[in-house]
Amino acid sequence: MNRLWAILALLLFLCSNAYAQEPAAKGYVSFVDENGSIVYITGWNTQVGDQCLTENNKRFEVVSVEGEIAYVKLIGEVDLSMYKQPINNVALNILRPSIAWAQGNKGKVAMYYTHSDESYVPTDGKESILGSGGIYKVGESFSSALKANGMEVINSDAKHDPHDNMAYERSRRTVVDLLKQQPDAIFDLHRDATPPEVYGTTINGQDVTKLQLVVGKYGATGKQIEDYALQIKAASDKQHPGLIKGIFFAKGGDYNQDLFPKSMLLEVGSHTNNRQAAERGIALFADVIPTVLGKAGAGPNTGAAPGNTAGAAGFGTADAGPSGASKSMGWIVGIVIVGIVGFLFLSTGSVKEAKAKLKQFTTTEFANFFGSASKDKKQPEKTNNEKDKE
Amino acid sequence: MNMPIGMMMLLVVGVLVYFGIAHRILDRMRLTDKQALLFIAAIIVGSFIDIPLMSAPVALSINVGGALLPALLAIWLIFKADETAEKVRGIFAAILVAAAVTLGSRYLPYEPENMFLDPKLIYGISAGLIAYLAGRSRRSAFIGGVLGIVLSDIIHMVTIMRLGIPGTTDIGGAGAFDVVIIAGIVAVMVAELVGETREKLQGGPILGSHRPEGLFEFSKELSHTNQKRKGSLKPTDSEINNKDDQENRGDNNE
Repeated sequence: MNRLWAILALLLFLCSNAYAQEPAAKGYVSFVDENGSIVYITGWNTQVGDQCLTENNKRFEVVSVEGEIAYVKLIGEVDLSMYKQPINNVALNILRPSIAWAQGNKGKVAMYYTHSDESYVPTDGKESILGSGGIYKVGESFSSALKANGMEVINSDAKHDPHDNMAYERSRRTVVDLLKQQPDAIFDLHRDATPPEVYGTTINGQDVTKLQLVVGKYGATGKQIEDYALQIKAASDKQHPGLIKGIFFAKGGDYNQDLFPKSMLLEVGSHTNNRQAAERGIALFADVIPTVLGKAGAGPNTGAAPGNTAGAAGFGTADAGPSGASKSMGWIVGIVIVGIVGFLFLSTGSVKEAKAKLKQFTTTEFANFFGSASKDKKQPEKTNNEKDKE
Repeated sequence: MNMPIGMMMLLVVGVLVYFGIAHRILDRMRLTDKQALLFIAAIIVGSFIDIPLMSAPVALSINVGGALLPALLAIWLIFKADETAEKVRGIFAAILVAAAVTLGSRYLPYEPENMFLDPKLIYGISAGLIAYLAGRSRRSAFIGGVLGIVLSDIIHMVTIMRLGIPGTTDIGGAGAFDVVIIAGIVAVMVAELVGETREKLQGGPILGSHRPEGLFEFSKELSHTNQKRKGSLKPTDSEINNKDDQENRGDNNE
């Protein structure tokens, strides 16, 4: 046992040693299509299978990666008019009285910062300031713009440094904490790492940075987040064309978007952009949020598409096909069934044995919950006692 | 909240499946069905309770549902283990997992665009594999997954303290959905998968007259031993657990 404590102490010492990895910019990745032209640029490396939706709604998938060039193929053009806000669905009809009440409140938005160190070089001096990155200032700008639109804001000041692979697991705790306060939407604010011209633009005569939405496609709930991102882009394209640089569909993680269906990861500009430009960019984005959350009253988008009865996040429509939520549900149920069948195959020798095991599960396991109500009176209660003796 | 019905149903299905799997896993941790159900209820209620442990130099708190209860269960499993070797293997698995998490978090890709596997799963899977290699049992997989993550949180706290990085450590702060619990669940599933696959590749348990006494068969026709027991055709949970223990012991002896 003593040796064990010694190993533990040594490990604690070794692992807590100076943090070696600097979140240095490695350059950026250019997405090159079949014609050899660059269609999309983002910081950091990508993998085969990742997808992106460009500013003009063309969707590409990465087919191969060579160094800092990702070769992509066009999947198709997305018709964002199918992703307008749902105005009328079954649930809304049932809940009509509470909707009337809900429209009185203008909505609550929560925001947090998984990578607390992310900063903007031209204004902050460094690209990474542990514990108090420039990204917090961008969040303040977002927060005050939302408040100006009459929304309630919860701006978390939780820190999740160092900037490592566990940062999302630490920020997961912040997300759950924020969800306890029942927000209508939740945003994780980041900045990208690209040359300045990728994000820099001029909207209404102002120098601003564009935003990139990031959808985690890893979890089964990825599909509904995808729908949500497309809804955001549809609304933003209408109100502030050119503000959303694109959507990145990353297959490598879920970025805590599995916890809440209205979660979005935003990349506001790049480390090479001016922070004030990023602050102005996200302030423009704040104008879009009431529309996205259906709190805009008679907004420009809400009156559209009378035939759209369920909407993208509901059961889907004839136009758009099955919705993201129902696709996600299909995935979850499918995975469960495959898992059960696979387990039965592995743990039993034959179909007969598997059937018997399944039967045993459905009879005795549930008999246990309902006590003597079980049809099988031979020994329904004995199982618990016997097991305790173990 | 203004949510379409599909989204609400997805939430319900997701939560049911998640807790359903958690229940099947806890069922294997020396808990009965009812105890496992109560334990899940306690985790859910406990998710809303954070116990502050210290506030300076870094804030440290522990969530009852997300870390305290699963950690206590894991520690109880260590104490209840029959042999000292088994106890040591459980603790050893936890330490190895903590090291894997700490080193992995430092050297694996950490940007959204280049992660290849969700960290929650990476650490659950590594906990499962490490614990299976170290102890070849589901229980030590669970211990490794849960205590490994808790330990890695403590290492994180020490790290930010030493480097003077402002931050907080809320162990298990995401409650029922924290990586502590997910790693525990995934670890047991991996151990189960690896164990069962290995047994399957080796030809599975022997059927017929050479079958070891006590190994349970669900369908009575297949088994030699079961035909002897004409009285009780239904298996009891203890028999299933016996099978479990036998498998583990059998593995260890190899």
